[in-house]
Amino acid sequence: MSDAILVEARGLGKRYRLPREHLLTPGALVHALHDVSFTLRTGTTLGIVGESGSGKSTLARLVMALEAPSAGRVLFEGRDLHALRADALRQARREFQMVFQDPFSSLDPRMSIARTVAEPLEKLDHVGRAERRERAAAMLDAVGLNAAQALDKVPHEFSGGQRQRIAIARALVTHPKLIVADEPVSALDVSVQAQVLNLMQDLQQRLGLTYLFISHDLAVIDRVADELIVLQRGSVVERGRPGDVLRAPAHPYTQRLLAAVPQPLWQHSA
Amino acid sequence: MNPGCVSSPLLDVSDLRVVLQTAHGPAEALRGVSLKLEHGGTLGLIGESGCGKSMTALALMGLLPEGATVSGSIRFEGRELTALSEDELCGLRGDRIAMVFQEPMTALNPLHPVGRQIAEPLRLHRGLDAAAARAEALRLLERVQLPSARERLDAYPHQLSGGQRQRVVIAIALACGPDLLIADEPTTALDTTIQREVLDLLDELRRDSGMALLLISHNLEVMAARVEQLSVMYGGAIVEEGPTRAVFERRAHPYTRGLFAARPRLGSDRGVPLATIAGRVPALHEMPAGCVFADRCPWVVDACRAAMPAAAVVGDGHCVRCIRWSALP
Repeated sequence: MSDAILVEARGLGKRYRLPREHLLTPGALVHALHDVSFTLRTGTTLGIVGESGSGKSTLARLVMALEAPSAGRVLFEGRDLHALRADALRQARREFQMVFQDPFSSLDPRMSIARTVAEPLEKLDHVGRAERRERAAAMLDAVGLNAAQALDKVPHEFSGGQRQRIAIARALVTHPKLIVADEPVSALDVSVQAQVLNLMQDLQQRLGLTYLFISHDLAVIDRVADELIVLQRGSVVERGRPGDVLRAPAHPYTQRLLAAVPQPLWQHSA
Repeated sequence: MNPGCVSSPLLDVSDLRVVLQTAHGPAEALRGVSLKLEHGGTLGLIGESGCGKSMTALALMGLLPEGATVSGSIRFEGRELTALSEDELCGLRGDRIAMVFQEPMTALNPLHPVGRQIAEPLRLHRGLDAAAARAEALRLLERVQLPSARERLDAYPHQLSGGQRQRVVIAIALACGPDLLIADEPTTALDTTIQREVLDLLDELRRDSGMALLLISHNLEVMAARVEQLSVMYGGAIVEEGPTRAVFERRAHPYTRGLFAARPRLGSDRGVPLATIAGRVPALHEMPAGCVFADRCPWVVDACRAAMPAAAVVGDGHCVRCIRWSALP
């Protein structure tokens, strides 16, 4: 697509202090993320791979400006996100939205789908009720749901795959440039996972979206990512194009991840 | 579904039907499930959410929801389980038949140290005193290869990682040396590398103890590596069953084919969209009358909607419930 850099992370680090265990000594420091840098070009996908506790979700929260880094910067279109004033940051938020792993807990069970999808507009754009509903309907159509039928229902009336489509529609309603997707298909069944992955790739082509795509599933990352980063205990241990990294992993940790993927020996056809 | 089988298997389920009371009235959650599992054998149940895998496990354990009606037969070591009283079932559960659940954090009691939870079935079923049960709990924790087992006896579940908790759940299941272990998505909540360690552990324990394993999973790769026999479930019915290798190679049922094609594989061409199965799993009360897969099947013909297809023999011990299996490309 284009060569413009949308997001640049420079030397990102995050330390947390654990709750104290003794009255007079402070709790221990945990380095959740250490010196992570990357550039993400408009219209491409950066895959983040690693296991629980590797820092994947911390990285997502820093890029989304949900938390402040202990070190380093996140530049979004050249602007340091964490240096923005509160109102400027709120305005900037329309440009980057998030899709979470579990579509059962990420949607408010009592809120109608119309309101769920349009909610980001309430805070970001001062658009009227009718227009919010219209834009929610357009987004539901874009993710392959029947908007006329879906708008006035509540989440429990939908299957897991449909809920993830609703979550994607909500993320897209502000016309963001970046979507941070944290394990967006891990909770879905195989056949539904395929539908959502196809949808995300299709939306990327149609809308020129940029993805930061977090997954522990190497086959999924191989499919969606233009470049990947392997995180282990908060540090980048390997990076490159998925084809290269997964064909010839250089770091022992990547080799171990790859070896853990069960390979059915007789699954050559199909 | 598989007629000419060997005599007196450990577990022999035939034509198991479960009707649940739902908001839309009674609905059939299991529609004639038949399974056989030999002593020390391994059988996989594969399928997606709502296909009836977990319902099958709950029926075997006698743990179906309130108001469920069961018909058909579940014979375990020759005893008919559907006829047993709750007391008699309690004598079997955790003793001869044990279960490992998907989410170790909800399977364990957060308020009790793990050692005590492992000791519970031993005191209940074996009548061991506290000291003997604790000693046995330590031996079990060592057997499931929990590091520093002795210190961990008094640990609470929240002090352990996900993989360690699942080892504790397995230790509880193994406590009384069951003949049958039912593992319902035992590794789905775990990281890939931990997943493999836990599955390796289950394999090893099974080989050592001679217990049989009924493994429930939606993961094709896990099944390929871990079970000898495989049953594919869809819409409360077993649509294909046979030796795992034969099922993987032949993929006689259109649903089995759909599952395989949908899975992203390393090195696949990303320009080509993943194959998907049209539509979605129907709700229990809206299951079609004939073949349960008819509404989503690319090869459907009118005759498919007439009745649930009978089992057709594809190969040695390999059966499929599809009238068109021999015509598929």
